[in-house]
Amino acid sequence: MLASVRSATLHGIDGQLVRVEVHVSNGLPAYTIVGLPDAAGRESKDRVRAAMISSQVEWPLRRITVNLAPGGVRKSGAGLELAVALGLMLASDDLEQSVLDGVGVLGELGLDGQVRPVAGALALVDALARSGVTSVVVPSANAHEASLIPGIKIRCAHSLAGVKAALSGAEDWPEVDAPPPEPPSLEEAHGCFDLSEVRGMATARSALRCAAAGAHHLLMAGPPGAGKTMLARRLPTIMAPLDPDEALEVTRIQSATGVIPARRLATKRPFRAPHHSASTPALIGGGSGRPHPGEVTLASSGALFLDELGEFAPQALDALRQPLEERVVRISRQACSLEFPANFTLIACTNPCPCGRDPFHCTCSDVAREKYRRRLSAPLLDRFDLRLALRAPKEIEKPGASSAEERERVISAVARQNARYAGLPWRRNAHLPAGALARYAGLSAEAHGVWLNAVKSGSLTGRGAAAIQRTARTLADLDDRSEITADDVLQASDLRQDVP
Amino acid sequence: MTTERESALYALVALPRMTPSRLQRALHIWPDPIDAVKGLASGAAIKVIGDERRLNDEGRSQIAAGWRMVDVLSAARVIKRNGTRLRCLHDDDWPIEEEDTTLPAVLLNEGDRPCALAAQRVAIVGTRAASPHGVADAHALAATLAEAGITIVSGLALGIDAAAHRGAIEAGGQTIGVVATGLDVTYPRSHQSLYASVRSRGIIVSEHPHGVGPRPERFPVRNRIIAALADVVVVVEAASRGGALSTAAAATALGRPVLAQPGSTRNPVAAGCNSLIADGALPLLDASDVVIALGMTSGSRRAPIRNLSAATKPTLPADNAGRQVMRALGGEPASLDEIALRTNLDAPGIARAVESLCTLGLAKRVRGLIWPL
Repeated sequence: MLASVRSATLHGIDGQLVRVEVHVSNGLPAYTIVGLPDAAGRESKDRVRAAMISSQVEWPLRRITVNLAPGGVRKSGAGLELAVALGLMLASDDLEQSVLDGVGVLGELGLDGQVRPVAGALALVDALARSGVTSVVVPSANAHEASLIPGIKIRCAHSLAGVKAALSGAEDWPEVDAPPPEPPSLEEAHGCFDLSEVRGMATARSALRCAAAGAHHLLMAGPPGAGKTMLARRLPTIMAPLDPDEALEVTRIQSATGVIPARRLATKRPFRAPHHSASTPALIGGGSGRPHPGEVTLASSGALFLDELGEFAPQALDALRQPLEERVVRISRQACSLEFPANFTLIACTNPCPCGRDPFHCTCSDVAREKYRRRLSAPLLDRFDLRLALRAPKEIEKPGASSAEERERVISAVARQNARYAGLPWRRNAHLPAGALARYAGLSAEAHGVWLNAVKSGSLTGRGAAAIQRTARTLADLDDRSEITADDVLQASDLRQDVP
Repeated sequence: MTTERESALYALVALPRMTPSRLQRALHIWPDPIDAVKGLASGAAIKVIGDERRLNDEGRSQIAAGWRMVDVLSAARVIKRNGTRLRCLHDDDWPIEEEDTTLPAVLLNEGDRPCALAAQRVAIVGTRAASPHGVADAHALAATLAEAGITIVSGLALGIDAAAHRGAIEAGGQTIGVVATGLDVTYPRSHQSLYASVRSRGIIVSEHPHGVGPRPERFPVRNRIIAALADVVVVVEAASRGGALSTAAAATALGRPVLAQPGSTRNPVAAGCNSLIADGALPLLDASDVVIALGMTSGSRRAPIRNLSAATKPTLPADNAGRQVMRALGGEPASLDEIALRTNLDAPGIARAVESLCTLGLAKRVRGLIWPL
């Protein structure tokens, strides 16, 4: 007797459809699972058996074969167990064959028959919805997340017994739990950080604003106490809120990495700050078995903060170059090739040398300093549109504008960019391709003269010259102007200093 | 001096566990290095190291065994291949007057102009983390002195040292680079081309055999050779601690005049120079101070001080904003934020003013700071 149930498993951060086929026939009692399950999938046999017995469902003492199709794709995790259990019930006639027509099933089982949540429910339900499934049974903990996908009926599962009763029509489907409380407001979410605590530092503020508005990568170099980390930590407080498409993607990524508590769409832009001992796969993504998204993907649509940039492994930093340029990460393995989004703003801090003192009091040897500087390769440094040398402030200054005020300016600059780039493959000034610079960031004759001057006087690469033009575009957007003035270009070149 | 003699000297320098003071003792026992080699080869090392109380018998016999292997033939090969010349303290043209056990007994040199040692010599030293002002001052001072036929001695390090060598070379003068490594080692490595030009416009000098690498403890020892080789030592910029001050201390110990260029108390790389002046060094205001210290003029009174500000700032910016920014800088470097605090200009105004100052050559942007020139 044969039954088949639709389910899905995670492939990177996307859902991959899986058909769970269960065959029960006469013969010596046996249980075989085929179709490239991982270790968790192979162990599922004992969980399914115990869960069924705990739920007063008879375990068929016959020859059972479970196949996970397509057979060539590696399946990960325990999220197929509910589908296997329901398939067994169909195959042994505990349920009508037709009750699961057009229904997708997701969920892990506990030994007591409870249905446990799965990682990446958002992506899995999305994949099922696209395949034409009309309703999906999901663990109750994933119900809110799953209901973010429009056009598909969500059936909430608490326990295997409950699912059986609901499917056979003996009981109604349980209600989805009460909606979660409102998310905290932006101010609360950012805790006690506010840009008004930063006194003075007008140049650094302007750079931070540009990074938030135009998604320009920002590098700050300076001695300890110059305020680098303080500024960087306040970047999320001035970033524009996520728009609906971005929010869905951020939630999807978070859900795929198993951050379950997000029961509604993400509202905060991600801000990831990995420690400098992070390995290349941790930053970029990868790892053995199912490739996992790295920090660059988790920071997508938000900011990736690398404090003490010079302390990161040089290979890890150089691996950042391609995602910085293309805003996606491609992970290739023998069995599969995956593409993760990596649309992040990089914000990095570094000391000028290992001892970290200002150049006049530095005790490092020439070789040590040179080595430290060489850890940051020129191609990596070149990808920072904004580069600042900060010094510890000497004069006491007035507190500056608050995060809320700065955020207003950023939001309106983002709105200007969204309007300008509507229908184009990029959305922020930093992502303007070189070919489109003249069209979207054209310079007046006067501004062009200043730009030429900056190009001639400095040791700018082609990328550096374009970076100044992009930053000038963002400065004009922040001032709510459509034309770029000579002042914008001057300030943009002042924001790209020769550091470290 | 014959090549045989130089080979013998090199063989002595290259011996394992040879130190300047042992070398000095050996050359006092055997004034001719060829005799010294013969003596050591026949096991007479004990005459040199016999008095050293820190050595036990085992150590002595180890050293003596090593020194028995003294190899004049390979020494001859090395100095022939590299064109190395050696002098010892018994030579007529030995450049150091004093006899002191802490000073080297043998110096190696390579380069096209050994005659650089025959002229009057001024050492120009300072910090590696020099400011643009310091680099420009060291360069100009070296050029002025080199034009007057004075040899510029320095240490081939980054910052002031490099600027001094370059100033001398560009003025067509002679220069001596004293290094803390073997003569075949370039340190820092980025100075490859500077090493080559110092070799062609003068010589590089070391007390170490070839192949000796840079070690932190070798640099202060090298500084004492710079001081000994110079008739006058000039410190252009130095932080409150660092190698330049050890050169100045060695020069004072040897009785050489030390000059230091004064600077603002707010400038961290002027602190060392200012404290030298407070301790009795002569203030350096222009090249004539060095000439007086060398005793090259009859009068001890210096020429009237030029109006420095008029000399170094030939044109004042015409516009009000430019003047405001120059006043806000006050001769010291400042960041854009600091300029904003000290003027009533807005950010674009400052950016414009700084840009025009840079175009006029009155200021320079370095790592986020604006330096008045």
